[in-house]
Amino acid sequence: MPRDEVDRVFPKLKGKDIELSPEDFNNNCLAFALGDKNNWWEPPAQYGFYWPPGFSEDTTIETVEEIIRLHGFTIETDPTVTPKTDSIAIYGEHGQWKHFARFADGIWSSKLGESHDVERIDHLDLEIADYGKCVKILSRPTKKKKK
Amino acid sequence: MPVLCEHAYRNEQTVNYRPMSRHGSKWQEFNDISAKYRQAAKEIKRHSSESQETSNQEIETEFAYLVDRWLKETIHLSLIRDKIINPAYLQIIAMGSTAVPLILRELRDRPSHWFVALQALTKSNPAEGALNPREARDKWLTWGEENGLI
Repeated sequence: MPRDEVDRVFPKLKGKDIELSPEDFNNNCLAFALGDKNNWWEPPAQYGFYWPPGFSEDTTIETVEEIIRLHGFTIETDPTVTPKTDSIAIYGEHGQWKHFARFADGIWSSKLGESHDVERIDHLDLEIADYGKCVKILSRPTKKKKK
Repeated sequence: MPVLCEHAYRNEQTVNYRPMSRHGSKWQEFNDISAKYRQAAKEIKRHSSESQETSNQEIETEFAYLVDRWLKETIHLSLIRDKIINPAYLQIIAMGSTAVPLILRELRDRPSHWFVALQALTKSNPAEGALNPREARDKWLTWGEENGLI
């Protein structure tokens, strides 16, 4: 997806100094947010998709939140405030997830479907009709300082 | 088809008719008519082959248009479930088995999630058990090669 196409689909990214990786059809935004670049996370597990065993094969925010929490993102934070620790933003509507972004090392990034990873974005820039709104941010707990 | 035969017949000007006897001239007439029909058959075959080429080109053009439209409208989507209900994807499936070699070539040259369409069109699933899309792609391409489709 050329940059002008990225700007067409995500008008809020237009003119911003973002970074685009090469395209990769092998992983999607949920996999990317969880740090897995070798799988496409989508239920049910067929056509080369991956879905963690033991979880409902649906695309509800409720189910995916369980999966994300299991990966250590257990604290719900305010979507309008920059997180203090690594976090995952969930986008969706009507109780169904449509997209994810991750916050790590102080920057937001996301995998755009089968296309690029996009880095140095504002997570609210990805609120488009196809993704819905950022409905929730789940963060890792703050590390306690050792005495 | 009959129109083309008639056209070829009417345009055949060379008649090698040499009456030797009453009986012989019948044979000559038969030979002439046979030659004319052979010529007509050749023309029909050539015309059919040209039509087939045109038809293949039209199919490839339509396929390329639908692929571009599908990618443009869905490449950023996070769920394949949403991508495969796009009208362009459904139109590609509606093209039937003629689309299979085109999809396999597309999958080889520009990897994307064609597995649902391929399974629907071929009623096969060589990628069953694939752990990720890359593995599914490899298995489909091997299947395509084994079946002489790419």
